[in-house]
Amino acid sequence: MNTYWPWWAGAIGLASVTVGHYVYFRNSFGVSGSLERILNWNREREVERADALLADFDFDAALAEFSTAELASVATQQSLTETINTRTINTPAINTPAPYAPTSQKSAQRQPAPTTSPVAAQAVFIAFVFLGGLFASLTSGNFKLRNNMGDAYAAIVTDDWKMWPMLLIGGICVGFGTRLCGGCSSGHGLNGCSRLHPISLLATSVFFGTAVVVSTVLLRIL
Amino acid sequence: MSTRRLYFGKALFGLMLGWVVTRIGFGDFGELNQMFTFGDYTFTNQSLRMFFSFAGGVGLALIVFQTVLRHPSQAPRIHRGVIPGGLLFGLGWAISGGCPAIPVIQVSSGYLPALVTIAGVLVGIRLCRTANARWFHLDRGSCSI
Repeated sequence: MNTYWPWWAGAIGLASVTVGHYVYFRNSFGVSGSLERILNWNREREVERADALLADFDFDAALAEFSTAELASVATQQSLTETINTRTINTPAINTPAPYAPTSQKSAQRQPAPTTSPVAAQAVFIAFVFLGGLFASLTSGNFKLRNNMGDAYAAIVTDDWKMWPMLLIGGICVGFGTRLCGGCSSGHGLNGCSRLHPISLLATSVFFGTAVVVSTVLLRIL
Repeated sequence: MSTRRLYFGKALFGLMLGWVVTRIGFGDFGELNQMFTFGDYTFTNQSLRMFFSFAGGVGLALIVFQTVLRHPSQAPRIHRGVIPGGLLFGLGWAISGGCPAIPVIQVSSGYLPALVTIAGVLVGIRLCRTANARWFHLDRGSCSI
């Protein structure tokens, strides 16, 4: 007999993971997004390496140095500084931009943009989802190696060779659909809906509603 | 965040998610179908356990985010791929029991055919990326960062 958690324990568990992940990382999680990033491993690693090279790069200082070097051929640096500071340039009908005055203080005050977790960390996350499930099924006595999807699947969907193409087609629909709408039950459902994101509320309504309709058709009609 | 703390956190929350989802019963297709049909597939026991587990989790998290944490977050924009994507996802979820994490849970519970579902998910993700780059050109965003 299966000994699954009562509904309130499941609700507390899901909420704990959702809120805890946000408190720890200041970011939400989504399994379909993680899988997509893992599939594009090489590209993601290229981006991470490029980001690492630029992490300590002082754009302000570099831009100031470049600008000064480029304009030094037009006027002396001192006259240029005075001209820029007084915002008077004796050229007709030219709108000059505001003087760029980078300072280390200004650079230091700029808030860093949110960074993405490395793709290797996403792989660790997925791997430990598997391990967590394995430990849970082993300790609860529900683990059993089998080459079918259980009695319920056989009764509701199919119990013969058609199971294999159904699983494959279902998986393709899940993979395509989750990436097309930008998230899955964990991303849109748990994280997005709990933060009242309109896109998540819409997406969850659509995919959950569709699953209800299709499951009802499978169960009661077909 | 240090590298050690990052990977520890990912391992911890991955473990927690896998554990919780399995103990709720998402790895069992019968239980999952019960969530969508609000009943037992043998028509002997009407139960909303699965539905309330999911909805309750969302509700509890919502209460915490809206009252305690109250950190503003930037939501991705709604785009024209949301509805067709949701329709496809819901169809696939109903016939395979998969919602990318669940086939992983199914395999960890011993349902080896779920490996085929995982393969399908990966194919679907790749197809969507190609189709989006070639035809759709949608800014899909992602809930996972």
